[in-house]
Amino acid sequence: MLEAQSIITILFVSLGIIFMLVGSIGILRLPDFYSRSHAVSKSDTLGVVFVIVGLIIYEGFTLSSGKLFLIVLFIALSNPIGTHALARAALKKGLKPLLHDDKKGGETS
Amino acid sequence: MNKLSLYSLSLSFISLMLFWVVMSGFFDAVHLTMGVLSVAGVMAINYKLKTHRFFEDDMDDLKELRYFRAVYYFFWMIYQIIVAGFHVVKVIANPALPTKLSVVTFKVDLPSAHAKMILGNSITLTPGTLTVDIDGDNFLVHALDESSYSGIISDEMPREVLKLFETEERQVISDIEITTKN
Repeated sequence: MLEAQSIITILFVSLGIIFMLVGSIGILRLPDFYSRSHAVSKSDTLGVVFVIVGLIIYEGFTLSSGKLFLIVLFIALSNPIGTHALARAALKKGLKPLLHDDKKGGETS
Repeated sequence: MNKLSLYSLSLSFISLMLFWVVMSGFFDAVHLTMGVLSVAGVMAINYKLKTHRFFEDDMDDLKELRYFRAVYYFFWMIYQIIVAGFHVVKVIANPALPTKLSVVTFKVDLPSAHAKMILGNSITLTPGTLTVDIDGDNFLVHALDESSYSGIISDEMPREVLKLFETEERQVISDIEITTKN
């Protein structure tokens, strides 16, 4: 019989893995650079955060869980800056975002 | 070059020292002395960076920040990220891929560069929206579909950012322009 703590941990870690999986699928499915970076930033913010929150619950209230919480905080602070820097560099280099009406151009919509 | 206030210096010392204690886990005199020395070294190296002003209204301390609002904003932000994250998962996992890629430009009326930085980071952190460029007061945001940017153009998120710094409420964003065609 599993304890409640382990069950919650398993739930959170599985949810995080699902987010990362969908993020990877999104990288393959979405059409251009900017929309793909949405998929990457989501799998980072939510996937990694859910996995680490699950580990914090597994660990309980110890020093290690404090360190894990700091990891969450630093990911949440640095991830948007990295994504923004990449997107801005792409825009400055002249990469035009693929927009909704262009994509549907040839097809019947 | 302007000087750092005692408040700002003690704030960075306390936060760095807390970081050291959490990372080391030892409370004896030797480890704490090493911690004080390393923190002093880090602060000495970063002194020039902290005194440099990238913008006119840059601040080295967080006196204008309302701390109770900041705690509330932290949890509100987590809630927004989770809601938006499930929405983006639904969009990507849908076989029809119902995206509506669009570029939203708008002007903001926020008191400082820090407030704009917080808004820009929050927009990028929320799945489905991505701050591509900030030029003065003008934001350029790339969005995955309509409900992704609805939180921004309905002025909900910008108002929360404004409340972090000021008590009065006002319309923050204006000149919204949604482009779905190049």
